[in-house]
Amino acid sequence: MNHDDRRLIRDATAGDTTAFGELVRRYQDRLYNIAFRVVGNPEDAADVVQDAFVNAFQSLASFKGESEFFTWLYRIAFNTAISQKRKKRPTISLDAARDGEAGYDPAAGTPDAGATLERAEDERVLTAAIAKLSDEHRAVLVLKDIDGAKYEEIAATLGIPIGTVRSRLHRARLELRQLIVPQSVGVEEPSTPIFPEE
Amino acid sequence: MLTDAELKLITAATDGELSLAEERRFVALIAANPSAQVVADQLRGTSARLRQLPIHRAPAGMVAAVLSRLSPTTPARPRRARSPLWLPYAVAASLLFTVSAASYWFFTAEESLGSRTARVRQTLPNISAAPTALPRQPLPESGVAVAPPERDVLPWPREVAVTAAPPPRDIAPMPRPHAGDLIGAGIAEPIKPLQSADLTLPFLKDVREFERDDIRARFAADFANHPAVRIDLFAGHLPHALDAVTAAAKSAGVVITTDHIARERINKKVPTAYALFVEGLTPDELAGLLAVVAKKVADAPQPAVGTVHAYSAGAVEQREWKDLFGRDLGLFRSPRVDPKSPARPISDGTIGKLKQAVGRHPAKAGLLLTYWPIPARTAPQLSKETQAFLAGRGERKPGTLPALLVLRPAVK
Repeated sequence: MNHDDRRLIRDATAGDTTAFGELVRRYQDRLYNIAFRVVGNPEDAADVVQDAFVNAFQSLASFKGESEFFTWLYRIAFNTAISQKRKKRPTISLDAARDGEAGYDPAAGTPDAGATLERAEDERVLTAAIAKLSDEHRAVLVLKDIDGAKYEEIAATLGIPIGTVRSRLHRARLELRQLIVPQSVGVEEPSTPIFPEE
Repeated sequence: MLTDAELKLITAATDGELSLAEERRFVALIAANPSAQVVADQLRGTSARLRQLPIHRAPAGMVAAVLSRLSPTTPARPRRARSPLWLPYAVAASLLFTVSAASYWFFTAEESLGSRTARVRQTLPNISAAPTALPRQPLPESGVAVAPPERDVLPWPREVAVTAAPPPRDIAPMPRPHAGDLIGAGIAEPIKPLQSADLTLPFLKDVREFERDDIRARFAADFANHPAVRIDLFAGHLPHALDAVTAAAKSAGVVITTDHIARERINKKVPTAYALFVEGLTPDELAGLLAVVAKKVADAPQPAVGTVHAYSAGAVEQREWKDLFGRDLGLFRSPRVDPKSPARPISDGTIGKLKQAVGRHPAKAGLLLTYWPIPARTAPQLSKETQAFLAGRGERKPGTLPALLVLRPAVK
């Protein structure tokens, strides 16, 4: 954990909400992007991020600094997201993203309208497919392929062994591929799960 | 057909998470099984598509929204594992039992030891009267069976050290002589009956009374020499009351800055208590402001503002205002004057600074904030409006009375 985070956490634990505000400012975008991909719509993602930060502040004294602050924060956010998904049925809302609402940051380099439409369509397909994955598969996939975390970080974040990360990741990608390309080529798909859970 | 281990290997290779040994195995696998290359390409393609998804950033105001939900108190300390409720009672009972048993054993053991010593003393023969040597017996003749000599019933006792009995002990020491302590001692001097008592009655009026000259004069006289005043206005209808107060303040020449959280809650008509801090008004002008509020709410069928409670701001308000504004406003400190330094003429630079200060801040300024519920209060450090207001504050003008007007719902 870097020195700044450590200092801010110490100040926030002492009741300095300004220091905690700085922590929120640092991690809000990263957490929101992950939460958006996990819960599938901007409103719920914003709720998850808010709840996660509030819960994190309330239990900040129990954070021992043994892991990265974001890893700890993500665990809280993930649990919040899962409990929120259990409360309400998942909905996919891409309208806001397509309409260019505040907070939507399209990838750089959109040469023409055709490419933009293609990209938007690709996002729609992928987002819908991600939403259909199980919570476990979605979590590893989002952390690896969207957040760019390493296996070790994913294992620490989700509290599972690295071998399980590999297993779940492969199964998640396979499942995703089946959802976006129904006619998968090159691999004979087994009828039973490929990997036993470790 | 690829095995589980091979598929894991390909997944790790796609993500660049192979060890050296695994990398060698992966190269061998690709060379031996062409379908492994196909799977690796597919996985890589899927990952690339996911990585190209646009990044969604947190909506603006996330920080403020989170902070507004935080309790102003320190985060809770981790709770220790809760011990069962009966544990303290069990510990106390076992302690009591142990002490009782030990006391019983101690006293009974001492008692029995004393009686045993006495008994032994009684059974012991008188050593001084005992013969110094045993009586000589005749030797038996050889080949003749001789019965053993008759012996005393008890064998000759061994020598026993007899100690003197301990002197009788008192059961407990005598109590100490009683000297008066804080609780038991009597009162040094009898309390004299009260000769007089000063009572400060609260300035509690119906807002309509501020239309009277004598009430306004009394308000001005009561608070003229105080550092600041707090005025609670109990509103029957908060939005109307807020309109009346802000309009009255504007008519008194106050330029109001509204914090963004307050503005948002006003626009959304969220039930909220508001605080309007005004500076630059004299006590007379404040009384006049309240008179204008009275006029504005008089026409409404249900009075928007009922009771007005005004009181001098003290230490409690000082702390509360510090939380509200994020810093001490300096209203409660008397100006620091160094008696050693003689009065100096004002330099041109100081005059320039004064002019600049006067130019950047209106003479009568106000800041409207959310007051209740507490979690809806803006974190002052994050409020641009609050920071701008505080940055623009100048020196307090003589004769003015800073005031915090709190609009709160009347209890029905």
